[in-house]
Amino acid sequence: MVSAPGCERSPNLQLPAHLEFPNPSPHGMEMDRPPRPPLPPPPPVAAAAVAAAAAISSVLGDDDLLREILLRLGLPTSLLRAALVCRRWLTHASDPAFLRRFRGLNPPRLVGAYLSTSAGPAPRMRFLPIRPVPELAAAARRAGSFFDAFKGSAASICDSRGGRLLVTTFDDRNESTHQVCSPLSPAGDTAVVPPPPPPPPILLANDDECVIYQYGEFLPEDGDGRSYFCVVMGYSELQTTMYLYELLGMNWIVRASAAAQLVLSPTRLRVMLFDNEKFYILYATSKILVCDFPSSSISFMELPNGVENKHSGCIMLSRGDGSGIYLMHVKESKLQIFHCGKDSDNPGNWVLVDYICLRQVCANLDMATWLSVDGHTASVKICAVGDNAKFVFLEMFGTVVFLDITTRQAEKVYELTPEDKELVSVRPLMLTWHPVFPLMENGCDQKELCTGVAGGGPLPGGTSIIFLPHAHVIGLVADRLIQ
Amino acid sequence: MASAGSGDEKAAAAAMITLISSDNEKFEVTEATATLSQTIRHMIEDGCTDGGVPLPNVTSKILARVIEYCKKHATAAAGEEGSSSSFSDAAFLEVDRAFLEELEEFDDAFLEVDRATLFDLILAANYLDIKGLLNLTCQKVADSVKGKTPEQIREMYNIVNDLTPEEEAEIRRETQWAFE
Repeated sequence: MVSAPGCERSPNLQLPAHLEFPNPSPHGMEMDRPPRPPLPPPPPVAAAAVAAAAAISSVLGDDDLLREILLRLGLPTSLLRAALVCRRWLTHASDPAFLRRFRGLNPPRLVGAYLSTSAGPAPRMRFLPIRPVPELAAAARRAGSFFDAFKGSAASICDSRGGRLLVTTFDDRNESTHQVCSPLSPAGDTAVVPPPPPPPPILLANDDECVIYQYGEFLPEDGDGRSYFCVVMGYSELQTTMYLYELLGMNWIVRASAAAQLVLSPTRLRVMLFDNEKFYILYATSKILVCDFPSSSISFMELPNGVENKHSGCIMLSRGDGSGIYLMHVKESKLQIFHCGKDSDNPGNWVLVDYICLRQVCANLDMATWLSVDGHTASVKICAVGDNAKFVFLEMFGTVVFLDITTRQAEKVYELTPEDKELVSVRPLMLTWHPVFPLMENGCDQKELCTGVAGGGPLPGGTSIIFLPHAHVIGLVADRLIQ
Repeated sequence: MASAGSGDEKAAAAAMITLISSDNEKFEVTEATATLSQTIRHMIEDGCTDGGVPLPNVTSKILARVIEYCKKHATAAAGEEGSSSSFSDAAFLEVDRAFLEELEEFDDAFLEVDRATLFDLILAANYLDIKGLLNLTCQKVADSVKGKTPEQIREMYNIVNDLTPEEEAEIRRETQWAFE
């Protein structure tokens, strides 16, 4: 390249970076020096490698930047692997404050769903991985083989929440066992728990009267994996009483109760929801019965305008992370999502928050039957809804379809066969566990440990490592440490 | 780059800031572009940008890329502000969606760089406090680590394992399936 020393550049001309003179010298000193023979340029590959190594060690050697990178790993499985890289990475990945941020930034991920059909005497539980990624292949395999251990006994899932399942198994003599299972927990926890409590005694007005009991079983949001809630509803003509039981230390405790006089007995439906304070169940064709346990009151809530409980599977409720509840309604090929705020002065003040044309989002699924079924409202049923109405499982035309509400992506996850007879339930399973890490004893000084170069140095003297057996124990300990 | 220069001329009425790289190269940018960097925003607020802003930690090669990113995203931010008043309008939502898609494409293309540049961009984004760029570049590195075994990660980034085999085995034992 011919350079013209002394040539004035036009002030208006802005040269892009790569066309600028290398190391421009403001005082023109280069002109005074005799021209030097050019140095041979370093081999490009080696030079690039050296430059890359310097930049990499500056970034990964910076505690804040390393944390920013680890935070974005997305899945706890990826974080766990990264933690094994070296002691310094482990220290960051296992720091309680870091783990809280990690959980905040990476919400539980749906791994798949258990599907059960009414086929045969011992219905099989199938696990359907949803949108599989390589990082979750092991999790999906583990979830898929979980029910192999239940060989010989029929199992049904009464509730699933986060990464836990409430499972009932029946042996040859038809005796049932209840268990709370965490298929993806590192320890593979399965705890046998007492069955729901016996029906509470209810005073009857006369000998002819009878009481109809309905049970709803619900897993709590968190806890030690050995607990669940049971809502028992006793209906008689004179009075309907509702009890909220909680399993504490393997004993059933009545948490609250409420009573009211109802015209109809609410029939047991799949549409029930319990959000730690309130219990919701569909009532008749246009109402939701709400039992508020803290205030021991029973009230009614109208369904959103234009929504009717016409056939089973057309309505489903979903928890809204403390922001109230969501209601999903399907009619022909229309899917509507309503939200009702928690502190709304006017209960039943539903707001339409989303509307999806199923025909449109399922266009790529080869649903040739759409044309012929319009008007047959029973053709599409809601099987399960994720918290915050983030996703939904639909049964339509003999297939089970998963639909991600945010991205509008639909995928066929199962085709029912004649042997399946009827679809009984679809229970989502989320990856919620927190990585298990050794804790540094005596709260070793993070700063001291972390300022070493990438690769880390020896541990400061006196630091030893302890291991705790279960993820949730670590979680509890870690959370307490922060508080 | 020539077109970028004429763009700057058009915006000459807007306040211009001069950024000076570690190798003494000067870059003229609009205030809107420069203030994507919180570091520079604070300097402007403190009125100490006369005579240019020296950035001794950023080379001209990297600064040029950073400016390219900021220009694109500053335009995007301006576009968003303009359309937010008509949030309920479906047509505007469509425009927004198209705009976001274009921005995503830009980001993807922007990240097509060698490793040295990627890590230099992280250092620059951190020093200049540009949240979006830091997020983008850190995510790219995190993506390169995802799904890799600890051994692969060490090899990739030349990290020495200083965990004892016993410690490593203990952690693996607790969560065996995550390593399958």
